[in-house]
Amino acid sequence: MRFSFFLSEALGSMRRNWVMAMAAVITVFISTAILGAVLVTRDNLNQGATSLKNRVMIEVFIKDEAGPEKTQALERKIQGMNEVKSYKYISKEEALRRFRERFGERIVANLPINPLPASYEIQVKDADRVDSVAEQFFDDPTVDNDPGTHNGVKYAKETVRKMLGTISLIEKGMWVTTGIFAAAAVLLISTTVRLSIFARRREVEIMRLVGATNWFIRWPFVLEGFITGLVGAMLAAVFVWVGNWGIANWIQSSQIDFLSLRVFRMWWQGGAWPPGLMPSLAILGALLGAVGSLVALRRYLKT
Amino acid sequence: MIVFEDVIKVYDPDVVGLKDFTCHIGKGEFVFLVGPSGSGKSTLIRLVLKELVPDSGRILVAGRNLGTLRKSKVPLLRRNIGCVFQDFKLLPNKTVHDNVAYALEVVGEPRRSIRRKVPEILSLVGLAEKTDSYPHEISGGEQQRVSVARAFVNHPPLLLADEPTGNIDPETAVGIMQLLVRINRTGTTVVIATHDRDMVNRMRRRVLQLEAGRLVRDERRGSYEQVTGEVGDAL
Repeated sequence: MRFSFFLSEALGSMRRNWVMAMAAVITVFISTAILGAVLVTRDNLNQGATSLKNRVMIEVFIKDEAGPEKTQALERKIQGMNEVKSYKYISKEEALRRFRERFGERIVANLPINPLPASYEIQVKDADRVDSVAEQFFDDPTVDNDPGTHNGVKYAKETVRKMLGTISLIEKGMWVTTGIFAAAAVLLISTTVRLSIFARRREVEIMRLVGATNWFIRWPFVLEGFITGLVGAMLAAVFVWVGNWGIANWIQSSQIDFLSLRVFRMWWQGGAWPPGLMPSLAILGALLGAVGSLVALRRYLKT
Repeated sequence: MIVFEDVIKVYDPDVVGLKDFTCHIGKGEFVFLVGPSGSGKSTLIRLVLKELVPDSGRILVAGRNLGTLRKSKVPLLRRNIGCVFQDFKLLPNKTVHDNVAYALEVVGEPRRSIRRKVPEILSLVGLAEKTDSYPHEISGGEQQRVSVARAFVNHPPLLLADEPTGNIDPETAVGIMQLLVRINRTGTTVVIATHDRDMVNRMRRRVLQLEAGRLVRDERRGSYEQVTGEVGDAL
């Protein structure tokens, strides 16, 4: 049919019922903004967890007297392990250089010899498998263990496990929260749409009497819902994005970034939502508005 | 144009709308439906529009059996029936012009012909000056004329009016009636449900009198009340 007529009907009615239209836009805005904030937070937590997992490292220290053959044998052993993602050899000199960097020239200058052992830094594919990988070096004769201990192998055991556990718990909680807020958004928006259509049920009745087909009546309302949802959700997307950006900046400028995680990430950097958060929210809002109108109209269009 | 055969319509729980109602209204007729409130006048009109479905009996409108008319065809039926109501039923947010134009938009009339037809019909009903007014800005009589214009702009073969003069003063009512008569002269069948005694008595058209859902009188050149022998003699 005539799209321009439907569009002008929709826009005209929004202009006339602007208070109602504003209320609907604000409702969509608030509910999708909350939803967006939850999604962004979840996305960033995910990334935090991933980066934390990547930082789980095993250090295997090598006896000074081991010699190149045994060191190479150890390296072959590391190479042969499936769970290992990557490894790096840290020579005694490299270790000293790092030590100097961290604690200053003065301490190092007084050392008669280099007391630091060489080592391998091993990154594991799956953070949950750190233990089993580490255990395989416990009794290796090349490893610089004090007698009766395994202190030649170092890795963050309990701390990492606890953090990962907490993060996965938070992740699960976030899924639930996302669900609740998505449902709340749908309900809030559909209620608002229903209210605005209830206020115009007489109009619908007259349209039917004049012989308008159901779709002829529906289109302007559906377009109105679509526009309302789109505007509200786009405002929400911009709001969430600006908030995200502000907080990310603030975290970077202050020194609380102690974990050196980039806690907040922008939508264009990709994330849990393939097409990016902004367009997703906008499309979601527009669809909610359109479908909400359709559903709300149903009871007035029974013949 | 309209045929009712043994139509029964009962509302819940058992309020009677129409009972064993049979009547024929021919093409081009001008008919008054009279009777007290609740006698079934509005029920009859709503049945013709297929706003209501009878419990039994047959209704034909323009040769179409409403009982077998598919739901999706109801809008097409209504486009062939102009409607005028006591409360005008104008869209409050549309101007006089747009209210009339809506009936044309609905049938997919091209914009060019809408631009031609609306001013034409508005000047016919004497509202050329009020084109851009909103319903709440004009008088009741004027609103009713807009509603008549909307009902007639498609030149439907049938025009139904439910108490068209119920909400307006007697002088204005005459104007509305004259309008309906003029519409009738173009060949449109006109059915008017009314309480307007003077109007019916003055016009002397066919009168169908209803009481408690039954047809109690069908008179060619009838008056509002049945003129019994004695009263007639007394006059």
